[in-house]
Amino acid sequence: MPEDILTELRSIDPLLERKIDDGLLVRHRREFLGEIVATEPTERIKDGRPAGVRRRDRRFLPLGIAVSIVALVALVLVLSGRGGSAEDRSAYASQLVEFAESTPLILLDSPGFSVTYVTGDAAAGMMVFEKEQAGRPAISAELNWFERPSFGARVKDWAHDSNRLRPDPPVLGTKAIAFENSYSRGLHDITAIWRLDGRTLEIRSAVPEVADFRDMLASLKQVDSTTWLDAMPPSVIRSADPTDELGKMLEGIPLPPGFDESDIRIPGLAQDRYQFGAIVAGTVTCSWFAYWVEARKNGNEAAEREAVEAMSTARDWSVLKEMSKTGGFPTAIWSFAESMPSGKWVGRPLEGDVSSGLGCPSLGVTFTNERKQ
Amino acid sequence: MAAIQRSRKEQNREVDFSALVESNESAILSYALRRVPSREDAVDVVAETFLVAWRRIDQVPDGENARLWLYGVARNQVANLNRGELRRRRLSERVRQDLITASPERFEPGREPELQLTEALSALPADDREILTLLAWDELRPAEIAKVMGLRGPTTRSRIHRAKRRLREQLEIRNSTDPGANPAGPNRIEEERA
Repeated sequence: MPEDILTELRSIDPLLERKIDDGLLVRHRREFLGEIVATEPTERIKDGRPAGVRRRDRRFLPLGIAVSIVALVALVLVLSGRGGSAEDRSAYASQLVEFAESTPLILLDSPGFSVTYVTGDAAAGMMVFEKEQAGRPAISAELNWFERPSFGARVKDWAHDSNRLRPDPPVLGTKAIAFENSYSRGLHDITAIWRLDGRTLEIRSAVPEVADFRDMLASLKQVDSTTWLDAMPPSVIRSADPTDELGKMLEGIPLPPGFDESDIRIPGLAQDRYQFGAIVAGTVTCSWFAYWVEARKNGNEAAEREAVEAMSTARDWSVLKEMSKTGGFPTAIWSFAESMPSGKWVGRPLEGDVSSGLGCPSLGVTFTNERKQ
Repeated sequence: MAAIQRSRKEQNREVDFSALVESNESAILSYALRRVPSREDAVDVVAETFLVAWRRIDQVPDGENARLWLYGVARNQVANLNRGELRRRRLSERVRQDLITASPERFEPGREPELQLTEALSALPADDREILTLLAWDELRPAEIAKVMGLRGPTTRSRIHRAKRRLREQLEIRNSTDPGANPAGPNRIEEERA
């Protein structure tokens, strides 16, 4: 068999005569290993750890998942603006109070720390506290609560590959069992576990000194639901009426003919603005692509052009501009939009990647020959 | 005693992993650079590939098979990237930027024959494209390609043959529709058929 075609293919090797510098990662081995070792807990989820323990970098949620998560924060604020004083307990809607009371109602009462993320329910949940530091990476602490696995199983799990800290640190009137998971780049990665009201609680943070972690535990407080809700960040609170928020997000976005705002699948309870924005902008984008696919199928050049022009405005959509400060979802939409004139994505028909990348079926938008979810 | 044993086990794990990175990082970065649009994406693919390797270090085969196993993982990560599902920026920004800066730019075909060949390759089914590029760019043997792609051994050669045929057909289509653009093209195909 002639091999000419392979010889020719070598001529278009994207790395033709471009030598990779051997040892790129080796030079960074320590740091690279540190990065990878630090991600180990994520893997363990698959081995039976609860979802609430998952390290979730919400800024980089996979696109398809970003628009399909349904168990996010259930926060609805009745009053406009956020928060309320202890005396106006009625300020919060009952479902909001219910959600708050399903959590352990714990706050980290330490200067500079604030709540940046909450998710979950009574069975398993997570909240993140963060403290900004000038010129240095922020310190974050991730608090998880869960009913399963049991406290004993969890301790055994950590004890398997981490060093126990002695003495056991006090926390919220009891003693926790703490483990140092790793020491990397000047930070002790420590986890403390304890029981509270039938659930297991676990807090994890990477701190410069072990004493910092002990101080952190000592700063944990149990509060009432109003105080807890007062501490929620604006990013996880929105107005009681989701259509208000929806209307604001849709401002300036061209909508496809026949598009019905009520078709946007807003979960029954609110989400943080990034996830909500992903649902709104994702649904509109998917709908435009569905329109575009149909137009191309029918040879309707005017409609095809209409879709391309509409999506060419995506860089001006305020919701995407806002989201771009947090994560990569807008970039994906912009990239897809800019590929519309060619109709190709990495050499393949564009629509397949748009559908899977944005999770269009889960948003209720299907293209030709797709099955609705 | 148990703690000491665990510590040694962990140390061994890191040593194994370091050796795996050292032996294969260049090949996997090359693989990724050839198949994704940007150096940034390639670095993400590499990071995610070695993350999987770290998690499954006990399952990574020995010797040369380790590289093939990594190719298989990287292949999935490229697919994830194209589906928009790759978890981004696993690495710290400093490592990431160093890697991006140190990685070579992709070669951009500029002449018409190269463009036609690139288009023809792009028009192939993904598996055909992967088979041919693993052969021509990554210089894997058919048996190795079978391992990377999970093909049954006996079918691999026929798959290679079919992929080559389809590539020639695609080239022919392009040459016949725009003969003036590539005077060398038709002759080249005829030579192959001879």
